[in-house]
Amino acid sequence: MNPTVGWIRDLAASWGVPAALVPLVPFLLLLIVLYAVIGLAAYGARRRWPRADRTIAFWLFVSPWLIGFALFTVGPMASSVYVSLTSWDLITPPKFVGLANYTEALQDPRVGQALKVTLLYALISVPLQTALAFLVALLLNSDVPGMRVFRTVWYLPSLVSGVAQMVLFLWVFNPQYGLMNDVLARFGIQGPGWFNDASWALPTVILMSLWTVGGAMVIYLAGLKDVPPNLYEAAALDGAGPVRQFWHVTLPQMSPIILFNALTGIIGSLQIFTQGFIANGGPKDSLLFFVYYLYDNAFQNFRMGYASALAWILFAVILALTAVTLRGSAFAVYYETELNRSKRRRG
Amino acid sequence: MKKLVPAALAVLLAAGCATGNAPASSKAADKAADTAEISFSFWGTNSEAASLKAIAAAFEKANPGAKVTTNWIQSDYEQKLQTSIAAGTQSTVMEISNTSLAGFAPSFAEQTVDPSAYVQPNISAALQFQGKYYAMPFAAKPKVMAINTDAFKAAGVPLPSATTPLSLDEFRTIAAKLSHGEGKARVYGSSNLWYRGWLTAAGGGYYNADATECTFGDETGVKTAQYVVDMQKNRYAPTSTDIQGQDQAQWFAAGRLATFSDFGPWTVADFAKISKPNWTLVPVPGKGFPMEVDGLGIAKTASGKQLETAKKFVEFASTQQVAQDQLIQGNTALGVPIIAASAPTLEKVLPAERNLAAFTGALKTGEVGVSVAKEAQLSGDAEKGMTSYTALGTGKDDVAKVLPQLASKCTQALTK
Repeated sequence: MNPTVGWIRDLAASWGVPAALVPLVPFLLLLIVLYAVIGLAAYGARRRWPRADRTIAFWLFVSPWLIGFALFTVGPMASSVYVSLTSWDLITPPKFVGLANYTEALQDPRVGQALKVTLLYALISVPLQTALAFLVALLLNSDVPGMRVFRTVWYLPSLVSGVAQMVLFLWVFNPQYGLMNDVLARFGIQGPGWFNDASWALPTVILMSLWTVGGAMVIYLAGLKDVPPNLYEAAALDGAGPVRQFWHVTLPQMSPIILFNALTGIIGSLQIFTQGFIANGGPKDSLLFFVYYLYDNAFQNFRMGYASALAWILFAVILALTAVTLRGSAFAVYYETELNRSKRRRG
Repeated sequence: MKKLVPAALAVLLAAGCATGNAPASSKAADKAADTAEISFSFWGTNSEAASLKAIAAAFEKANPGAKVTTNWIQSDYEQKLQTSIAAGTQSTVMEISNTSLAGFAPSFAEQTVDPSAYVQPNISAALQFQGKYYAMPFAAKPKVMAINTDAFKAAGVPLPSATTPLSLDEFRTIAAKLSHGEGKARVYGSSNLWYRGWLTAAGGGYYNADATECTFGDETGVKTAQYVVDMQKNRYAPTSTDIQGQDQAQWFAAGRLATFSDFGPWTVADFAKISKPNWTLVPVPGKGFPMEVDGLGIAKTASGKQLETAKKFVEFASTQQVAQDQLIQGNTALGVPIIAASAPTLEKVLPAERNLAAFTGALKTGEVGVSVAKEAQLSGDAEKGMTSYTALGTGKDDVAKVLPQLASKCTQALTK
C-alpha cells in the first residue's frame, strides 16, 4: 500500500470514520483536491477570458469522464510501464531490471510462437469473417417474405460467445463423442482430432470464429439500407447489371463500413484469449495466443514485469497494424463527405 | 494557473503508479493488532467450505472474545491470494497446500510445529521450506484405489489385499484380465493413468529431494511413462482423448472401469451413492500417489494480539480433536484427519466393507513431494510438453526422447 494513502486511512480511522468506509476516504479526498484545482482553473480562466463561458462549461462537464479516464486507464497504463521495467512476483517487492524484460521477450521462442499463432489467426479469420458477414448481409437485404426470421436466426449465435461458445464447441469438435465427427462418420469420413491435433487446432478456432459473424452482419445490413436507391437507378440506366452495380455502387458505398468492421476485427482478433485459455494453449502451443501467453506469465507464473512488457509489445503491434490498415485504406475507401468537401472547395 | 494542471496530472499519475507491497501504515496495523479478530482465507467446494467454517465456529466457541471472519475464495485461489498480498490486504490466516508453500513462504510468518502431534512425520515435514515451518498442517489428502468387486468376480480375478499394495506389474496383469469389449461398451481394467501419480507409485518423482533438479526424465521417469503409454496402447486404460468431457466416476458406476485409481477423500461422497456395482477401496499400487498436505499460514504482517489469536487458531485447527472431526461433514471429507484421536472419523462414514480404513493406511505411508517456488510454471510446462508430444497425451513422439529434454529444460528453469 502507498504510504501516503496509508497515512490518510490512519487519519480517517482516528477521526472515527467507520472501518468499511475508510478505504474510500483517500479516493474521495483525491476527488475533492482535483475539483478544487479544476474550480480554481475555471475561475482563473473566467477572469482572464470572460467570453470563454462555453469552453469552460465544456471542460467542467467532461471532467468526470476525464478524471475517470486518468485514474482508471492512464494511471494503470503508466503503472504498467513502470512494472514492465521490474521483476515482480507480487509477493516480494519489485526489483528494477531496466529493459531486461523486453530483451527477454525478443529472445523468447514462445513469444515468437504466440505472435505467429495470433497473427495467423487474424490474417485468416478477419477476411473470412468480413466476407461471410458481408455476403450474408447482401442475402438478408433481399425483399423476401420471412426475412426478419432469417435475420434473427443469423444474429442469434452472436449471443453465445466467450467461454460458453468455447465449451459448446469443445463438445461439437470432441473427436470421440462430438457432433462433427459423428456427421462425418455417416459419410464414411474419419474426422480429425480438432482441438486435440496440433495441425487442426487453429483451423478449428478459425472455423469457430465464423459462428459470431451476426454482429458484423447487422452493421453491414444497416449500411446496405443506407445506400441511396437513385445510385442503382442511375447505374441501371447506364446499362450496369447486378455484378457491375455491386462493384461500382454497393462496394464503394459500403467501403467505410467494411473498413470499420475490418479494423475492429483486427484489433479484436489480436486480443483473442478465451479459446487459448480454455484449450490450455492447445497441443504443441498451437493455440498459444499472445494475450493467453501474457495471462499465463502474469497469473500462472506470477511474472508481472514480464507480462507488462508483453502487454506493451502487443500494444505496439496493434498500433502498427491499425496505422498500416488506415494508411492503406486511403486508396480503397470512398467517403461521400470528402467528395462533398472537395466539391465545396472547387466551388 | 498553468502550473496547476500539470500538478494535478502528476498527482493522478502518482496515484496510478503507486505499487509495491509495503506494509499497511503503522497506526492501522497497530489498531488491528490490538484486537482478537482475525480473518481466514480458504478455497474449496461447498462441503469443504462448510468444514472450515465449522472449525472457525468451534474456535470462537472455545475462545470467547476471539472472532474469525471467513473469506471463502471459490476460484483462482492462489491468484487472488497473491494479489491480496501485493495490495497488503491479505487475511491473517491463509490456507495453503504443501505443493504451493515455497512460492508463498516469503509472505508467511515462521511457525513452531511439533511433529509428534501427527500420525506420521511426513505430515509436518511437508510444510517446511528451507528447514523452517511456514504453515501448520491441518488436513492430509492421500489417495486410494476403488475396485469394482463384481468385475473382479466375473473375470475370476482374486480381489487385491485391503492393506498391502499391488506391484505395478501385478496391476497391469490384473487390468489386462479385466479389460474387454469394444467401442463405447469397452470395459477398461483401469481408469485413465495420471503420470505424476504413477511416477511416485514407481518410486520416482518430479524433483530430487533438495529441489535442485527435475528428475522425471530419469530411468524411472521414462520407464513409468512407457508403462502408462503401453497401458493405453493395449487399451487397458482409456486415453486422455477417451475421457475428454467424461466423468470417470460415472464410468465406474456404469461398470466401464474395473478400477479407479485417483480416489481422494473428496471422492467419497460421489462413490457413496454407488450401490451397484459393489466396490471397495484398496491401496494404490507401488508406493502410492503423492499425498497433498494442507496447512494454515499466518501473514507475516500480523502482530500483537491478532498474531496471538492467529497462532491459537492454527494450533486449534491442527491439533484439537473438536476441530479435526469437522473435516468430515456427512459423507464428504475435506481431507483425512491428521491426529490419532480423529483418524477413525472418516472410516465410520461408510460401512466397513467399503474399507475407508485404506485412507488411514495411505496417510501413514503417503509420499510427500518437495515444494518448489515455481511449481505451477514448471509442472505446467512439463505436463504440457508431455501431453503435446508423447502418447501420455495426444502426441506420438518417443517418451525416452522427449522426457529427458523436458526435464533438462525444467532443471534450467528451476535453477534460474
